[in-house]
Amino acid sequence: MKWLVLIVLLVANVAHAQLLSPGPLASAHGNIDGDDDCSKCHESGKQVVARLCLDCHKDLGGEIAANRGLHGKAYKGKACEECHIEHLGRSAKLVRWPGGAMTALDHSQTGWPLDGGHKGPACNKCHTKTSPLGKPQFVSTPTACGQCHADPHKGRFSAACQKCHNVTKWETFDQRSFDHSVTRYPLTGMHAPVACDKCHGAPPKWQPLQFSTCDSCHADPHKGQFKPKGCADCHDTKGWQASDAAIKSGGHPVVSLANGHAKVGCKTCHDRGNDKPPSKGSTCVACHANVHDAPFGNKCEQCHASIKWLGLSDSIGRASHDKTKYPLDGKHDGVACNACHSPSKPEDVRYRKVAFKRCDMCHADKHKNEFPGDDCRLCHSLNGFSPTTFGVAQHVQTGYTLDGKHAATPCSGCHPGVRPRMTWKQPKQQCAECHENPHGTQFDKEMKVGGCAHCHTPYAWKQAKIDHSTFPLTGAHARATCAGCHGNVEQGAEAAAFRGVPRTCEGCHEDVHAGQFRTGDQPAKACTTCHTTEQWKIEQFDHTKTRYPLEGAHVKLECAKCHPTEELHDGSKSVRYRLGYFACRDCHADPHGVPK
Amino acid sequence: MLTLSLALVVLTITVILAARGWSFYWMSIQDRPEHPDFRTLRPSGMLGAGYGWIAALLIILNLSYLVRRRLGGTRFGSMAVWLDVHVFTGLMIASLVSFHSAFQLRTPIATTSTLSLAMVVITGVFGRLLHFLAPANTQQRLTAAIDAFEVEFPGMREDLVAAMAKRPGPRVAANANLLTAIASIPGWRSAAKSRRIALSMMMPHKMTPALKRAEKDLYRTSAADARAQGVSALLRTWRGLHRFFALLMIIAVLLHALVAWHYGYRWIFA
Repeated sequence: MKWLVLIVLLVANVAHAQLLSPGPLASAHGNIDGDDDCSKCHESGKQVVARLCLDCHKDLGGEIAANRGLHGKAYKGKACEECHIEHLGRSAKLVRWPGGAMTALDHSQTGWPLDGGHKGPACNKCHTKTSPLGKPQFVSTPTACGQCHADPHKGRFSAACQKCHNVTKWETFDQRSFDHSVTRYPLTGMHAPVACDKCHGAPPKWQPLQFSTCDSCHADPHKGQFKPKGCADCHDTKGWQASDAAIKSGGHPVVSLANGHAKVGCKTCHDRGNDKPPSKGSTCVACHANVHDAPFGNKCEQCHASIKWLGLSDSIGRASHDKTKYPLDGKHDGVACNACHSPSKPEDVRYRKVAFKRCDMCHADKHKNEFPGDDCRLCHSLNGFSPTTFGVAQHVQTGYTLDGKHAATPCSGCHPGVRPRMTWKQPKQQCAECHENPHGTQFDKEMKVGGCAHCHTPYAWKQAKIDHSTFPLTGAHARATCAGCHGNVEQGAEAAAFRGVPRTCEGCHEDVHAGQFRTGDQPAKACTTCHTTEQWKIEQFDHTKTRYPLEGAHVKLECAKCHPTEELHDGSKSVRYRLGYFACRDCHADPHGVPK
Repeated sequence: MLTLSLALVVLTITVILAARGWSFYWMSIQDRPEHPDFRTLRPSGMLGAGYGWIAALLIILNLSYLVRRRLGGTRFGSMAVWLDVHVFTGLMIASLVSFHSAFQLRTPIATTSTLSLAMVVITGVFGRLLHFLAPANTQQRLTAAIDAFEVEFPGMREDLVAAMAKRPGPRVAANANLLTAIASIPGWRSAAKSRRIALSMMMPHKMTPALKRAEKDLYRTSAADARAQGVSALLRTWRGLHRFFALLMIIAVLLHALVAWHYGYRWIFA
């Protein structure tokens, strides 16, 4: 048994270390070394499972899945541990290069053979990534030329450098197969068959090369006659001879020959020959009469730029609409032109005879004539039908001013209905038509005169205008709550009683004197004989008004010395004020008497 | 003869295995993956794992000695043969395990199992030596030697018996612990020496060859009798030490084998 305990202690001691591992992992895997982490690489019955390896080496998994890189091309399907041998200790190498050294690797196995200039550089020139342990990483090394090489073309050409260059020598490339369309100067028409050295010289000089204008290479046979127009306005690369099509498609100097001008013969304008401007000048008004009533000026081309009399672009139409009698403001500025100038209308009414004086000339009345008049702008603006410009201030126009709490009441509080709400009629004008009358029939007389407003305002229900002169509120009565005398509706009582509330003291207050000052049902003395509404307690009771004025030593006595608190038959207590005895012997013992 | 044969087998196998992987085992562990036989001789390789699994099977055979010892009798063969097989398998296991581990102790389990195995072997070899030193029936053999001497030189019996009785071996309790047994070693050595001196003083000056043989036998048997008790006590307690390390090794090997089996390293049984 002693041995067993020793064994257990020994096993427990080493259990903290790698009890079951066949050896320490390499430093790269040092963070998963330990018996708790076996399942990071191993699976029951399956030794080392590649899937588990790739759970961590995700980038490598991607390479293999894509049949890319050394692992994806040369080692796909092979067990990881065939090459990456573990449990040989922290300092053991996990990577053993085929050929014995990194530099001896046949790089073509990676699918990226090192040819030409790529043969020379050291491995780390391209494989710049390092692991957290500072070791070089090779997976997912970018293969795009631009990842390693600076782009001398400054991004003007595509990133596919190999279209022109090869890996042997940067300067040489197949000129015949070079796609000039990737440059800023695609070769079209007659430029295509021109030999490279015609433009680039020999030996070739690829850049900088002037090509922004034709006269960079070609002489101007017109001797500057058509400056500042460019050659390309009349000519194209198909040949020197300018065609009618080239001219009519926009090549004509000064004036476009599009649309209506296309139908006009050259001689109609060029009365002095095609190479000379018309004798009438080249402005529109030289040939066309001004048909606009609005002062649009003589620069017709500002709006009719493309010689298209009708169907101007939206931007031109909108920009010039301010010059009409109906500038486009608010939401009108975003409305499509043909919404007002419908193409279905004849041209003579489509623009000039659009009615716009009233909103309802274009817009339907969504309120279905609920509101008199035709001026929608009383409630709406050009910025949209909603939100309305009608607010609390405008409500006075309806004959029902929104004051006090009514001003803070949402519209739907009085104008029910689903949104958007188009019907705003509200025939109810009196308070009681919306509010419940909590007073019952107490104030029928007042309701007939001024309704609730006889006492209340819209500002606050409890700030009533009450004339309490029938029972002036003085002293503590002024400080008491209304409900103290009139009951409380909010607490669920019946309708508060404002009429018929007793005005005598005993109507509200209990008689704490237990009837000492009563004669039958009536009080022998009014409460006010001794008490005031200021406070119940009597500060200075005038004993001279009683049948026993206080004199001498009696003045200094406490009230309770003569007026004791007594327990009544019902168990309550009360101070006895009416004593019924006044003789000395009733209170004092006779010191002169003979003791019995 | 059997012992010698088994020892030769162990030696031969060990030499063959060493020769098979000599260059591999001499390499540092980090360089071994470069060796052409790495995949075969590494602990999980076909040969390396085979050494381990065979060693595990031999452990079972080795432990059967305990069963035989418990059963007693002679139905299953001589105990001496079983002991020889026990020793042979023990040495063979040590050899195979060393080749299985490729002479690397890299983890606590490997260190524990190897060290305990080494201790099992050492204590086993030493125990076997003790067993050899503690032959049975020393008292009868001593009496026989005295009788033989009496034949050659009559009249000495009583003096010889008295001299032996005056110089007994150390008395070690039956339940003495290992330290007590070890502490008795000087006692049985000095007793043997004392008997030898006493006997030499009693020997005649002129001795025939037959008498000399009888004298020599008398020396040997008297010394064996003097140390018999101490050696027996030492062997008794030493066996406990041997068992302790054996148990430790079995637990470690069992754990190691279970983990290897669990993760799929099953040699030819996969």
